[in-house]
Amino acid sequence: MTGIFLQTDALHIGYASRSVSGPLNLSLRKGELVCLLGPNGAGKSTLMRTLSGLQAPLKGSILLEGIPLEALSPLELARKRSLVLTDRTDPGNLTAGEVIALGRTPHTNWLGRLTPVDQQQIQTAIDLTDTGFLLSRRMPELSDGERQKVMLARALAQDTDLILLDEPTAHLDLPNRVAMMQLLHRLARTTGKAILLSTHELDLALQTADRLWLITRDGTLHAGVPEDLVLNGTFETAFARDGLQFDRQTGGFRIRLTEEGPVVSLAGPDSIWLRQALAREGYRIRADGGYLLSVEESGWKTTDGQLFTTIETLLAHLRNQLFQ
Amino acid sequence: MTGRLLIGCLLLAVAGCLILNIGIGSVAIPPGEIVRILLDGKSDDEAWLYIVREIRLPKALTAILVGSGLSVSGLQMQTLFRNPLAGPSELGITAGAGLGVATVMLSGGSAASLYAIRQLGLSGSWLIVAMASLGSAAVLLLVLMIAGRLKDNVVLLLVGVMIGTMTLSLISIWQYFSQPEQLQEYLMWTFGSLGGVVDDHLTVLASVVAFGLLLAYASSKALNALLLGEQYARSMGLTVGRARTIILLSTSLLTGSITAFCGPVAFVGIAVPHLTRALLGTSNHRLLIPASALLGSVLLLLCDSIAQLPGTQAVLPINIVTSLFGAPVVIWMIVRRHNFRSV
Repeated sequence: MTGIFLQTDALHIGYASRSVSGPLNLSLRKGELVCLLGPNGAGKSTLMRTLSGLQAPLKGSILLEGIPLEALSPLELARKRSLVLTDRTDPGNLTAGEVIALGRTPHTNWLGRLTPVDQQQIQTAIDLTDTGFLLSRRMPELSDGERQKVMLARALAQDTDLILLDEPTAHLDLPNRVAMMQLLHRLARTTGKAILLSTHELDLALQTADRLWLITRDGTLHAGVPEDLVLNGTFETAFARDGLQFDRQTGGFRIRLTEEGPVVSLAGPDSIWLRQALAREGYRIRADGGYLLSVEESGWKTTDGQLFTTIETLLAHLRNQLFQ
Repeated sequence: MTGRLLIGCLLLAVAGCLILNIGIGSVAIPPGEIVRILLDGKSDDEAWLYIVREIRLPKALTAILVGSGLSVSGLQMQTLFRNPLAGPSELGITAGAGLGVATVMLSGGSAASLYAIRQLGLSGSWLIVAMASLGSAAVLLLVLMIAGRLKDNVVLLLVGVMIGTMTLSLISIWQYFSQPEQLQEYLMWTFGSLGGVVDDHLTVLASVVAFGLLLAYASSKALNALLLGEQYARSMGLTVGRARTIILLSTSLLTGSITAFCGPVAFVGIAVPHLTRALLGTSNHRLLIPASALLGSVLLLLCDSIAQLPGTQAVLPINIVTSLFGAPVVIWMIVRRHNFRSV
């Protein structure tokens, strides 16, 4: 098969005392962005560490372009795959430019001197990640988002066909999380690299990943295109737990609250925001019966004919009517 | 490159301080005459020729070896421990070297003191260097093992002080059974001295320090990679175990040999790397290693010049001068805590 960069063959991962997952038969193609998802403790980190070569597999093998991982020297491996780790590194007073240049380590001579080829690769990495304006800044002065981009640029400068990122969005705020995922998606497309990242960002992963690797709590791994995994219910089962409900319509999770209150039925066009507010208040929403609310253009009308233009006043009215 | 320019300036500074250092003493010698003696080996005054060649030049060269060796040793330790407060004397490594020296003396059944190492022959001094380096390496390994379990940088300093105290206690047992005059000699050794390292001893010290410095320079790429932490270094193809062994070897040789011959010289190893980083504004070891070596030489030559107490006949022990200059630097670093984690 062409284009497959990483492949695992009956891989078992875990620790001497405890097997975490396996057998895993996975493949990762060039130009593909794969997100590894799973609840905490399912084995995401163990799988990332094993695929990175930082931890030995229990059984089975990992092949990079058909070559077993353990047959590669540390240097050969470093020229095939690069890492971005979760842990916040503290590279002291290094400037962002110096950190990115360190990515060339597996390619430089014994003194680490940079050749014009190295400079070229560093520049490419800087251009791809748009980090040019950060180069002379020192690492401790950078924001979390900037720092993560610099670490990614460093991985790109390493010039490998495979990049593994362990929770690259963990310390970022929402806009930076989105920007990071967009950047990774674009990189997979434009550079043809195989990119694997573990993340907790379910909704972002659903939108940007070419494929998902979904580990469930029992250690089973489901691989597939995000939409397939959603439609066949795998996604829902992987994360299902009390009080959390996956909404296949919107692709998001809904918090399930207690449903013991009075029954309310809605007439007119559906409004998810009204539903959300009613659910939070504890009303049971049914197709018919109970207290009828009609949704109108100008607001919400109750059975006694009153019109409310804000949900707040509507809820206050309902409270008076139904919880006396 | 500004880096090369700075190295050039530092080289000139070393030359200047060398001439200053040689010129100062109970007999003042004019700079022009020193240059003539150093370059031509001739002088109008036979006494001057003797003083420079036999006493002051060896001492100044020892100062350069001690300054460069301890600085580079401290720099490597700070990167290896990822801790700006690491240094040979601060983490008890010099005490380990002292223990190594004491072991030789004891097992030899000799009543001689540590100070008597200067009286030993060539083979004896190699043995002392080997044992001092082994002692350093043993303490270094111990501290490294403990450091893996610590999160706080200052705590490592405390552990280092404890281990240093423990090591010195072992030496004290031996001291306890010694004669008063030997104790006095030991006390002299703890003050540190750059004098008296001549001929064969100077050759031994110079070759060991040169080898240690070369090892350090060869490790500069590994040290740079280690700045990002062990996992990143490994992911970039570095064989961390091997790199660490070479760094340990270099650090132990530098600290061990210098301590064996000159006694403990405090604070140079911890302070000079910081001054160098501040001066160069970089953490790149390919520049930092030569620059630290040169700046360390300059500082030790200056400290030794101050120790001569120009204008008097008295001479202060070198360890006192370096402590007076170095301890405030360390306090300043701890107080400026916001920048304190920066290696």
